[in-house]
Amino acid sequence: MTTTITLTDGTTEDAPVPVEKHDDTTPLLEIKDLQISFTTATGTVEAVRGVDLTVYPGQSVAIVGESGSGKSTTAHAIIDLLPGTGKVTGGSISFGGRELVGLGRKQFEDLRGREIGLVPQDPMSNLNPVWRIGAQIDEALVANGFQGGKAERTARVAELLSEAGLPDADRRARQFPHEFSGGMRQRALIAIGLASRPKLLIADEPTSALDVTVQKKILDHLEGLTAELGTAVLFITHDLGLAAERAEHLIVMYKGRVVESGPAAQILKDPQHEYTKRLVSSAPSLASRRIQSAHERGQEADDLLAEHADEAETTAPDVVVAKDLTKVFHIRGSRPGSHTDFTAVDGINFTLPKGHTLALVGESGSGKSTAANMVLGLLDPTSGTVMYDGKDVTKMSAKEQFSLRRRVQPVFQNPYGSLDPTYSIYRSIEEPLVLHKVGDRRSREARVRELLDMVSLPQATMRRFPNELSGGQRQRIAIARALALKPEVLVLDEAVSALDVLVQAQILTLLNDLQAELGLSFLFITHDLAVVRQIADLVAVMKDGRIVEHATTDEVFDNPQQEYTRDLLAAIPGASLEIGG
Amino acid sequence: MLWYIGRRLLQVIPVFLGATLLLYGLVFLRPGDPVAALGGERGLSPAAELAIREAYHLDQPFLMQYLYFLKGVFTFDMGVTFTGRPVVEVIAQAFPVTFQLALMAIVIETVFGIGFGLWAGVRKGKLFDSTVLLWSLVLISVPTFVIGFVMQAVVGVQLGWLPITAGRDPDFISLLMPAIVLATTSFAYILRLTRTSVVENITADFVRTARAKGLPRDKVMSRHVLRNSLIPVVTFIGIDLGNLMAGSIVTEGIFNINGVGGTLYQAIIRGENVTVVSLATVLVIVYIFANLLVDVFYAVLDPRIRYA
Amino acid sequence: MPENRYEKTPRPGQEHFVAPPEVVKVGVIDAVDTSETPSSLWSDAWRDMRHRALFWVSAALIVFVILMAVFPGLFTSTSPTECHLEDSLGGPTAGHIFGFDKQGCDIYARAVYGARASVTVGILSTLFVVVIGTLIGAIAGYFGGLLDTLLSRFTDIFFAVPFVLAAIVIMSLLDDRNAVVVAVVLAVFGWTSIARITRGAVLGVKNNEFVTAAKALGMGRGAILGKHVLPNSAAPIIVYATVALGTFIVAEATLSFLGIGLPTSTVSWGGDLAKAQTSIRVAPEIMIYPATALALTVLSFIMMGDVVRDALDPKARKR
Repeated sequence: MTTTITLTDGTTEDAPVPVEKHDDTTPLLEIKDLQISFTTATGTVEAVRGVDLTVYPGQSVAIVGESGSGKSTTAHAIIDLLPGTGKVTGGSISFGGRELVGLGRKQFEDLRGREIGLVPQDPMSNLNPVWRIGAQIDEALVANGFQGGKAERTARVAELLSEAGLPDADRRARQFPHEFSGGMRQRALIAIGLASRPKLLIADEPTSALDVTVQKKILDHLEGLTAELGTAVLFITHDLGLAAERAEHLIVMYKGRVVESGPAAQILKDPQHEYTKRLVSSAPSLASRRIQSAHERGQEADDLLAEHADEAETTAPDVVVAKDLTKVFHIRGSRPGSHTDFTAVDGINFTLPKGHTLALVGESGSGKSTAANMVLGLLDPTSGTVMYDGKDVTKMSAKEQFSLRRRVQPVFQNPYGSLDPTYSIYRSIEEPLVLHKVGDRRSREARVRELLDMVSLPQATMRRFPNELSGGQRQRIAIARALALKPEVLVLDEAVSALDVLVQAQILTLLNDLQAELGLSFLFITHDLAVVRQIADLVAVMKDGRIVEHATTDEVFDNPQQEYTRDLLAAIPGASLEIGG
Repeated sequence: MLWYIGRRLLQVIPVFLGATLLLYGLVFLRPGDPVAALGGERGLSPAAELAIREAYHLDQPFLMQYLYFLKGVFTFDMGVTFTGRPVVEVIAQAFPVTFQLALMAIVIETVFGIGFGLWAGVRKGKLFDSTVLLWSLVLISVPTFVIGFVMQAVVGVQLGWLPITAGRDPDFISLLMPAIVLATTSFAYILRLTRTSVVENITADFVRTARAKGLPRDKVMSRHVLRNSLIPVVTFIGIDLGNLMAGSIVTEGIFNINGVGGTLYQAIIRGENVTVVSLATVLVIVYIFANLLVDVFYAVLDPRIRYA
Repeated sequence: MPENRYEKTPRPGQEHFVAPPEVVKVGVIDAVDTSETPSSLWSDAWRDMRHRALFWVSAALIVFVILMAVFPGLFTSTSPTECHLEDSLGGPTAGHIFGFDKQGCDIYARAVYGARASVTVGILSTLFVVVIGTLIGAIAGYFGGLLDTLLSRFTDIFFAVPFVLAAIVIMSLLDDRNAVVVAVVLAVFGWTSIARITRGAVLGVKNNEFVTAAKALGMGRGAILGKHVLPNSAAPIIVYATVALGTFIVAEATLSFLGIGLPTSTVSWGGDLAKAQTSIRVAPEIMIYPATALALTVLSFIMMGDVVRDALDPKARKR
């Protein structure tokens, strides 16, 4: 089989590629040997070291990197928006043949918006909460010399909003940001970025805060729009799949340097640098098989995968059974006396077979975390039951519920919130043992050391505090704490979602090894179908509080039955790319 | 917006009742018998004492007395001072000058507080910023009356720029020094608050977006940084009105102004309890309703509140 | 195979580039940095404060003032209450470096002895408001629901009465006044800000995942509040309390100045300032000493609060 990349969805012909622009042979943006450093109390930190980058008119280029790689810093330096003490200390940035490094404030103000637009990362914080959406677009028009009176500007604002894909633009323009959903805000930000028809649009993780289906819609729209207008786009993203799907040229950054750059296709199919290789092999959106546990590695993967699935359906006993699980929240309205009932989880059924992983997948508001909290016994179901080994949790005595805690433990999403910052790592891991009166001081310390070994952290870590550890390390500690009482079930609520790709892959591998070693059962809550493929045996897809599809992972991926599941699968960045070999 | 105001009005009712009940209860529970004290050394005749008790409803249980008191508040009948003048009349006469003084102080503290705070916030970490911050701490540390004395001694006596006391029917110039004195502490707080929120907002994402749009710096500062920094400042001004009132007692006292504060000051010095309590109650009521106004203004500034 | 945009020859500047492996080394992913010594939140804050001049200045002042309050005899051997009218408004002489006030008392001795009243009232009121405010705020924020509504409205009522104004009213009604009474009266209406701050902090902390994790371990609500929620809400309370101590001292001085704070028999800066006022035109310098002592004391606490705030500021923390 030859190694090729093709667009599988057949959009090759109608993909809006501005062919005539491609003949343009002068680069629009040319960055040479860019150096950027930040001054801190302890000295100078070099954030960007010798970056080269070229963008041609009308072209899409993507910078790919993890957090701290310097990708956003590079992009912000182009329009002189470096945060804090950031400073360009060397190299050149030339835009349309004009050197930007060293330009004055006024010249940058003229450049911004008019020549180079920005679509920022977080739609929630990037619009000023006190001004109407329309006013925020209007000021962009005024600042960039829009010719026309107030009425013409109002009309133009509405035009821009509907161009960005917001229906009912006249009314929307008069609303405030807090009346918009995340996706709508992102569209408004796209309207702002393109308001003055810049030649280059910097899209800084434009959709990473949004649900995948919304992300796909917005990126598709942005792609069409910029192609139509002939705008070049510089994507900044952590997602290799997204970058390869949306850009023709990739720049992979690591620790402030470019480690590899070139045509997207070539980098994906034939990565040369060690780091790029790791990134390509770890990117969940590109991986297409389940991670194997340590002792399985080296064996034939396909057989095992099938074996896993079979096992799940036939032999393994069910540890957790959820039956007609329902949760209704009463939400008080803004007016006195008014309230609405919101059904977060609507009569769902699922089973978790022992030693296996069931993934509950859904977008925000699908009810997956509410379901998880009911399984954890943190939330009482409105109706329905959760049963452990045939015993109903809701009917348990307080004492039985307390001892149930030893059997089911959670790991949460946010690595910065999951450990008490005032507790040392030792105290955090020891806490469950103390609370459940397990062992004496000495045996507890031995257990903490053992647990740190289990999650592959040096034992010396136990004297440290959470603020000294990285996100991935904190998640390891959270896993160690969850394992302290030797539970049978772990509820992993978006446990890897906030982590960088390589760290995420590491933690997934660790979880998988632990499962094989300890016979753990995982309830894996996630919004990311790509990750599901790597870790789950069974998948339940949730939408609006209901499970719409429930099957083995392979079935869901290879033969999805529901329209919604197909949408979700198609929305995985890079889903349309196929890497052979 | 109407819903918001309506809800705030509803919330004011229990606060108003609770606060007045609290004050009234304190007076009620104070040691000693006010009526017996009226008679001085000789004591009142039993008949006269009874008459007074009935007239002031002192023979009724506490809650009834409180209701009579409330009725008095709503019918502008707050009793009489020691000299026999109705409290309402005293307030009506004293209020205009206090209002003028307070308004001048608020204008001074907000204009200069926001101005210096903005400047310091923009120049964060520079010499101007640290100097201003240190001086604001000093101003907060010095009690209002000390500032008053220093101003009187330096600006009034030594330099002779402004009159030392205001006296009857004060004009703008003679109120200027008291207004500055009254404004000092709040000026320092507003300065610090403005600086903090400017520093916070300057690095906010939406400010970067505004710059990325191509907005000139002045517009970014006024429409985004300053505009958003005003929200906490307005909240503070509302809360600070209470300090302004306490401050006006001292300020009007030392500058000899015949406002509400000055009258209260005189009453405190002379030990006229009844007048002190009635005037203080009036001030608390004014404070509660002034805060209602501030909250409405706050909602005008922040659409998230308005539509919540 | 159809021609598509991925199959083009790269244009100048966009050729395939690979950094030489020796230039960019890919290390172990996510290694634990074991070089630095372990540091908790508090030891980090301490390390931060240690390097600030303002911290040492205010700490020295605070120690100095407290020494003066506890052992005034260390600083002067003159009695502040042994006054001779013939010394009235007398200038500095040997043994009486600041001279005499109108009553003929030694100004320096009175400035030294005045510290006790201010410091006592300041510390006591702060203690009271921290206890009441933290308790009410923490219960309201942590347990929520109806309890929160009730406690919050209760707080609103006290908040609606400006605390200096309330203190003026209450103190003007009391005949038996001393430092404890003043401290209690200031605290009765002064606890609301701490309650609000605590409630806010608790609300912020209680939704953290480590709290949910403790719940999932089966820990009781009271234990979670005491072991996880309160320790993590402490920073803003400490900062506010330090500043509040300063404002209580100012409030006490104001009350004493109005003649309704501490009795005239107690030596206090506020009372001395009131007395000095009567001779402000002839001898304004008498006022300088108690005023400076008062301002420096308050300043030292407020400055300390500021330094502590900077050191504990979560935004400035490394992640």
